[in-house]
Amino acid sequence: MKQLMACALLFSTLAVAHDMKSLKVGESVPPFALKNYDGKELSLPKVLKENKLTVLMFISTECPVSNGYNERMEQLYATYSKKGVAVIGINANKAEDVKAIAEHAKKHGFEFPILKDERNKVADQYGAQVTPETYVLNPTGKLVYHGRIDDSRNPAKVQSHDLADALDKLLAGKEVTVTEAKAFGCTIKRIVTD
Amino acid sequence: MRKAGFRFKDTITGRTRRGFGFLIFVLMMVAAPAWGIRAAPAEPDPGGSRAGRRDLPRVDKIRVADLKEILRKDSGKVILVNAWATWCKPCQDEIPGILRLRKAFRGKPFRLILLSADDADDLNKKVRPMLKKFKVDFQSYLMNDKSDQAFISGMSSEWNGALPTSFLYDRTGKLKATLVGERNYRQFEDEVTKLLEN
Repeated sequence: MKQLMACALLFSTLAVAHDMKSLKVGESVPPFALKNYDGKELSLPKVLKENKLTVLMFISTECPVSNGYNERMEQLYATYSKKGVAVIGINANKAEDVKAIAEHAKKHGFEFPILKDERNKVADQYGAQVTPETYVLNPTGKLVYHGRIDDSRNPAKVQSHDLADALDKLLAGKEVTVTEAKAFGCTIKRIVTD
Repeated sequence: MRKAGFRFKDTITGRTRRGFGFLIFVLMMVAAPAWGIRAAPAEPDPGGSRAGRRDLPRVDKIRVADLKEILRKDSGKVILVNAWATWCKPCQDEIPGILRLRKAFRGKPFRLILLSADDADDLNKKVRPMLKKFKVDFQSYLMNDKSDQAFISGMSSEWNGALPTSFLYDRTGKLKATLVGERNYRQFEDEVTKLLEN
């Protein structure tokens, strides 16, 4: 019984300690290489070099909020990939394996890559907490926008297209007025390693 | 020239026509089930009627500044604010454990506040019925500030809006922990106990 209590206490301490700080706008992001659900590896430094901007979207196959954005995410890819923006999904949820990600992508007609972040290493480095949560990077790997896609789960209620506004301004060489915007979403279900 | 023959219009008055129309309507309503015509089954909406709403737990819309004022007034207690939503499955999984805390710390300076992140439109339709399902018998709140971001940033700079998240305040009213993600009863119990002992 004492051992059980000790385990519970240890897990509790780890769980609380695991709450991490998020990357700040203006900071350089950690590089990574992860596999797409089709098995091909994608290296962030290479993607950054080949594109005007890179959008990383932490997403989920099960989260109702992330799923509420499926069409909007595909639309983002369709609109901005033509303008030299790389749009990349990342799935760090421990319970969502590559097979589930592939089936989900097929079902929703996603054309953008979705990388499996095994053991949530990249999510931990970036401090990503929620799905959907986006990071926009410039070619030198600096974070230029962080946060929500827009301000409502319900497409009919959207008033502020924060991610698209940031991309439009950056592509036009203008200053982004809103560099961080938050919204409710699902917690990324992590594997705690530290 | 006017044609000869029976003309409905000529033979009955307007009043009679209205009575006849009503009779046809009644006959159709009586006969409808026999013809297999049925109204679409209504979605269960316990919050839909005024009488139904009276049986549901009280949930007030609240701005972050007003919540902070409640926390300030209640300093002297350890307070756990649990942010949840009806669309969030892990939130629902952890609520029974959180409610158990109220019983476990009865008589101690501890307060639990459930704070819904649902749309205000869903207050009576989803939020209050779900709280009733969990047998919540105390007042709760629904975040309703000028934007979701205002509430998220107002609660903690460490919070990105992930649900569930629990905020633990010590007896001086200071935020001591922002617990992002689902926790179990033992984890909450340990955290609250530590703060009560300090």
